[in-house]
Amino acid sequence: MIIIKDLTKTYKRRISRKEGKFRTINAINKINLTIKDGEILGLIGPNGAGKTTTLKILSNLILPDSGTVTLDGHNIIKKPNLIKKPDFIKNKIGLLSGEFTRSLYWRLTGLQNMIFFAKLRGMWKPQERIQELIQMFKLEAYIDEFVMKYSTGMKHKLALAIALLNDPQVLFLDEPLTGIDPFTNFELKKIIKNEFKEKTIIWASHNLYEIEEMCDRIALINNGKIVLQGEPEVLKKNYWDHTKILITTDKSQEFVSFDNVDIRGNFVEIKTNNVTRTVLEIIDLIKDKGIEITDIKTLKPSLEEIFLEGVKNAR
Amino acid sequence: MLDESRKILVFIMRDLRLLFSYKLAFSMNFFGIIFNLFYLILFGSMFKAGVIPALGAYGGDFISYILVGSLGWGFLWSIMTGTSSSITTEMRIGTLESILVTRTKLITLMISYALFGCFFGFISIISVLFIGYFLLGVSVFANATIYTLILFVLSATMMMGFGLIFGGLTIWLKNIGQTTPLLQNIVMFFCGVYFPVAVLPTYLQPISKYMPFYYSMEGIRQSLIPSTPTSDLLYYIVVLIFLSDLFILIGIFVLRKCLIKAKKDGTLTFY
Repeated sequence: MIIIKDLTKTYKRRISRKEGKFRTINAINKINLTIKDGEILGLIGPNGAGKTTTLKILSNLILPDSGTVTLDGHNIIKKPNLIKKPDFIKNKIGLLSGEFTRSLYWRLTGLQNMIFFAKLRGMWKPQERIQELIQMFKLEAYIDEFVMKYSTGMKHKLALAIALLNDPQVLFLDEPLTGIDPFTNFELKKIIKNEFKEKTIIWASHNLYEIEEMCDRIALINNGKIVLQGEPEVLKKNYWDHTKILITTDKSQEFVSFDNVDIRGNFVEIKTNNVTRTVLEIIDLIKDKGIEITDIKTLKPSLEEIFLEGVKNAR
Repeated sequence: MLDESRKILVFIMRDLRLLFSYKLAFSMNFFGIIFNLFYLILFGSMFKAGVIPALGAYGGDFISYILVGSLGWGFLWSIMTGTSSSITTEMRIGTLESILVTRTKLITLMISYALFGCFFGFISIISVLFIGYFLLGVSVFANATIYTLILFVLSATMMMGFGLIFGGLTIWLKNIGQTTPLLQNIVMFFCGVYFPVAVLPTYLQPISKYMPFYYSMEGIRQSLIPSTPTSDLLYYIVVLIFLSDLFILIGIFVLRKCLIKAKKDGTLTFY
């Protein structure tokens, strides 16, 4: 289990060289999160929200100002230990960084890359594990080619395979499906669903559909703060207490008297807390005015709407 | 500890593979070294007939003097610059992050870079000596003794310390620009690389004694002169033992401080 407590990171940026003035930027502001074993936590947020900084702190690449992160009860963000004895944490963690294609040596073959990074992880006889990963990611045909000849999707698969070399218990994935074609995207999602069942994963992305599909729980981060967190369905229920009724009709202006109505051309959108009552009112109006309806449907809130609402509320 | 030592070999193998993958650049490196050898020998041959009093203490042969300076300094220099240029490349292409998330210590990485520089420099020296001897009849290190080897090893260790300092500064400041070329010019001026210190104006000569590199160059040169008393060579060895220990310790300290600073700034893997 990973427990993140009051994690804070600020940067000082000089705003006036003459006066020597600095501006403090809160990259991460007292983040608190708990990630259970085997859980996939989706960390969503707009660009610059603090997702990558959080993952880099957890991966020992950035030092936080304060706060603790424990993995199975061991504090992994303790300044002196961070420099002196990082092996414990590094053995258990795999990171797929955001700029994954840059994490590889393009002038080495896929296999040479895998062997090199396996040995750096202290795996001196990695052949069996490498073969397993080559098969898992279907890299057989290209494994002896220089990485510079790989497509982006292939590089992506190789980078993920390298992150998995030591079969880490915890995986930090930064934008893992960004910039790849739908086929590779589908393939990778399938692999993650089938093969990573027991792994604890923090999945940072701004793609809400991907997060909703892949993650057990989500945490929305904005301006370095966790704005809301929970299971997608619970969030929808808790943070979106109304339903939308969408009507398509030529006589949309007849609906202007409804509360929380938004009319755009032939489309009428009514937000309601009581669907039954509103539908009955709509039926009454249709009967009274003889309105012809082309289409009527109710819409469940999407994660995107929660995301936008969350970001808006946090500002 | 054993793992970290084995990783050094892994890094050197990787660097060799990368080096051989750029076949033209690799060949041109060697052509450059060989061309340089011809250039130095031709340059030195102009002084063959004349008497050069300043070189009296070194046997009077300018070709040998300039070749020892060029080869010896080139070898030591490649160790020092190996770290900062390799870490810059690693940051620029983006692979530093993927190395640092493995179990590898940054100091292992730095030592690997320095040793690769050492290895490459050694191969260059051997090639030059081989070609110089068989094609041009020049035998530079014919009088080399065990003291020469000890002085080379100690100098290489000291340069590794400098490499750690410059590697650390590169991690923190990202681009140290002309710092190393400037240092090289100062060293070549004061430390007897291409001309003896005795050629310098009298008031500048004492500065050489404050330059660690002077003891490397002077020690190596003295070890190649058969008449040099052992006590003189031991003096250079003792000084270099002290300097190599000192600069390795300073190197580790600076590297550690720069690493923490870069981690605090969040710029560890950026260029």
